[in-house]
Amino acid sequence: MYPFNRHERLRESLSAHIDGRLSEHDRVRVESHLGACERCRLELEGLRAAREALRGLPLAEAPRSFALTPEMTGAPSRPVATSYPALNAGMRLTAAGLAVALAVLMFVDPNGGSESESSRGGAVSRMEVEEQFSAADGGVANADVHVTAPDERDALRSPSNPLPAPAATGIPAAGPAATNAAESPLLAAGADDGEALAQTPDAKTADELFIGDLDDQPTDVAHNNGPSATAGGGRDGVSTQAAVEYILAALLGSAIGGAIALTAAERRRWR
Amino acid sequence: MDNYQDEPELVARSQRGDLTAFNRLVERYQTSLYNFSLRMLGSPQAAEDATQEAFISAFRAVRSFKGEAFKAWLFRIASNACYDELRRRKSRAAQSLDEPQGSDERGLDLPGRGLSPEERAEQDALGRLIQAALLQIPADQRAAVVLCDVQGLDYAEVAAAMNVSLGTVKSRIFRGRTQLRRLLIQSGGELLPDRLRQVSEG
Repeated sequence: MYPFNRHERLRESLSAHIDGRLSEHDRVRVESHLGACERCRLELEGLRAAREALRGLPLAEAPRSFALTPEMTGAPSRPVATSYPALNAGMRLTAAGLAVALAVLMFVDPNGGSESESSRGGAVSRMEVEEQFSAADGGVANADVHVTAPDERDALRSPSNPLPAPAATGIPAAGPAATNAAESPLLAAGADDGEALAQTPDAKTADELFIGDLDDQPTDVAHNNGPSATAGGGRDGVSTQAAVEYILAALLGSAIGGAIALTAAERRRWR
Repeated sequence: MDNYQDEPELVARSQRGDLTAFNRLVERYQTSLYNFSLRMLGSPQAAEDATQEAFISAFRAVRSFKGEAFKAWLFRIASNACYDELRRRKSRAAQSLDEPQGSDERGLDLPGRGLSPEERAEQDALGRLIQAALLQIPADQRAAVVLCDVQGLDYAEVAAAMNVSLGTVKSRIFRGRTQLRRLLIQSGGELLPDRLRQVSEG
């Protein structure tokens, strides 16, 4: 008679024994045990019968095809645009960068002033404030400038004269703004309606008054305002140069963005 | 007999997202996975759903397949799909614990080629008996005996499919067969094969 523990251990090997999955050593031990234990012999037969019953189960035909469609996998049908999300992201970044560069190019003064079309009123207010500064410094004629500038602002705001706006916003926010607005080729080209033309003499008056006033200003003030008041043609050159710089920067940014996007897309593809 | 020599190539293409290649593998294994799910769940509809879910999961996970036996890997995914369904059933608790859960008649109307109507009827009845017994044994033991005895996987493949050790597989198969024999003897001796009946009488 085998001890109970050993009997249980060998009994658990009966199933593997009928499957031929025991090592030679274990197989010999189990067969030796089976020769002496009728209970295990019966159990062995029962296990074998259960195995045969399972093996005798017929296989069912698959009721349908389980082939997958792209929709089932949750994956898109792999168009190029969606195969490379990194490329998409890169393109979006590049487009955003170009848009920003264009906006900067259009609305920011390359000489340092930054005025957007939407803040035109605010810019004029700043102009007024600076003019008030000048008036506070004691220039008598500056009071006229103070009066004239709102007229110019009205002209710029006129809905029948949309073109002067960018020209006006492209000049420094200082007293000579009216002069530059009147002398700007853009403004002159766009000022084809009577109202805008009617403002021009006022602007020139303001310019004359201001320039006349400059003569009365202390040297340092004249030095500060002089260049911006008289360098209209020079500023066009600066603007052109700045525009070229902005365009080159935008192109460089686009090239870098595109290169990054393409590299990421290639890495993803071959991963 | 299917030639499985192209399987590594089909798997590699599947890993690159080639759905056509993967569907060749689906076609190859769908009967095996469906029958496994049918025996695990006892319901043709549930087996169909689990099989489809398993293939979808397999396609999504095929990139992580590291080159072990693909068939065993597929069965592991199918096992998980079946366990998920069994857990859902348990949480629903909509059916009596005394009834075999999810079994239905359609699942047992299996083909009996070359059999007379009487033999066919007897085979169907025995099949239902075995299926009912299978559904009463623990899912781990059920999976082990179905994989080994119905699907014909060897112990190593069963171990890989169940992600357990060989010793655990041996134990589960032994316990599963033992429980199955006991349940079959309890449920209807006249339908049992002669050998099983003799054992029960002994």
